[in-house]
Amino acid sequence: MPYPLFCLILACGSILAGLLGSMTGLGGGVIIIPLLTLVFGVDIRYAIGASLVSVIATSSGAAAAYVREGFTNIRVGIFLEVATTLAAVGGAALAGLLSPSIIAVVFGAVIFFSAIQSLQAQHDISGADRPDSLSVRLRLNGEYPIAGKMQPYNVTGVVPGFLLMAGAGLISGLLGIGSGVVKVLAMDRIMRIPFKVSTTTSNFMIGVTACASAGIYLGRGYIEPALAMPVMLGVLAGSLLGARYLARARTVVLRRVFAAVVILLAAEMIFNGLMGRF
Amino acid sequence: MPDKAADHRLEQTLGRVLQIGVFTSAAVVGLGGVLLLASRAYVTPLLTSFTGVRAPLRSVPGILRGAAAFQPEALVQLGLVLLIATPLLRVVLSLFGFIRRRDWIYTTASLIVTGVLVAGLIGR
Repeated sequence: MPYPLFCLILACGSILAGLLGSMTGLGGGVIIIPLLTLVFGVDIRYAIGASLVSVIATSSGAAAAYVREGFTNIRVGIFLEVATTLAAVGGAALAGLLSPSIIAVVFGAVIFFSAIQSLQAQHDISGADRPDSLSVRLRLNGEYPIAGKMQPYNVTGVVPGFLLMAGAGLISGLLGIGSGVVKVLAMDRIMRIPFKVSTTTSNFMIGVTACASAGIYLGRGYIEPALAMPVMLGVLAGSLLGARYLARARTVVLRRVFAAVVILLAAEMIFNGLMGRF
Repeated sequence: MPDKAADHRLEQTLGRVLQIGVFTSAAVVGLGGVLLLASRAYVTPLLTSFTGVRAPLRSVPGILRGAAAFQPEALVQLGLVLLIATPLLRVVLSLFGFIRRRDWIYTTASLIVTGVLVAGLIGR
């Protein structure tokens, strides 16, 4: 295939992935990696490299807007980044040891779980009733704007939240995705952080987590400029578009359709992985 | 509370840094991309089997040398390195923010994260 055509098709696919990823909260990686491997036959290692850089671009591009709104909790972010970055380095090291087919199966399982999770109803909790002793000592409890007033909230489950976050970091480093769904799960369900705060803080952390493994992938030659260029620019454009115009249009129908697509892709990744086709 | 106000100011600065970083790197990647598309001799590399990108494009010194010679692939790679460095810059800035406020718990946390990121970028 001539390179300009290859670029054009990839850029279009990446814009769409970025758009849908940001609108549904699943991120662009869950679509990009299956698209590259299943449709274009790209080796999963190059796909992971390209996905990882677009994850950093999306996270950093969106963070500015979120931070302005005042939802991000920087202490929670830095504290949990200790877990995610250490585990991401471990994940990237693990990726070098596992065969591409096993990585594909794990990838399928993770995006399957993420898609199911994204369909669950969101309970907007307003923080824990009582903070645990660690969150007081670490001053993790914060406040966020709600209807023009600052609403304080408590944080709990610091230790289990930290451990689950390490799991999210491991997945991110191994598979080259943001694993925002697991991050939100840890902060939302376990640490009882309000939804708006956990989604924006999670986004803030995704870039740092991906950064920890990106250097390792660069050194291993996973980041191929010819592939990463259209993918990164496309996903970034798509996600900015999605965040700006369609953030409020998170319709149930769109969520369901996208989750169904992701589940199909997951099944195909797992099947092809089990057949050793990667 | 002055603590909260300082937190918020730091968050705003970090958000702007991220935005500037991501758009600068996108511009550099875009420039490299335009040059890549303009060079007619360039053929799509074989991506179906993994060989790894060629060695000069795997390390920062190699990428800098190529970019200085205006090689399209090295320019794309330079933009991607800038992109990867953006979150690192953010963590370093928050490290300084916490040091200035003598917040030693979060200074330590930022130091650990900085160390891990730097090790990832230079270690193999």
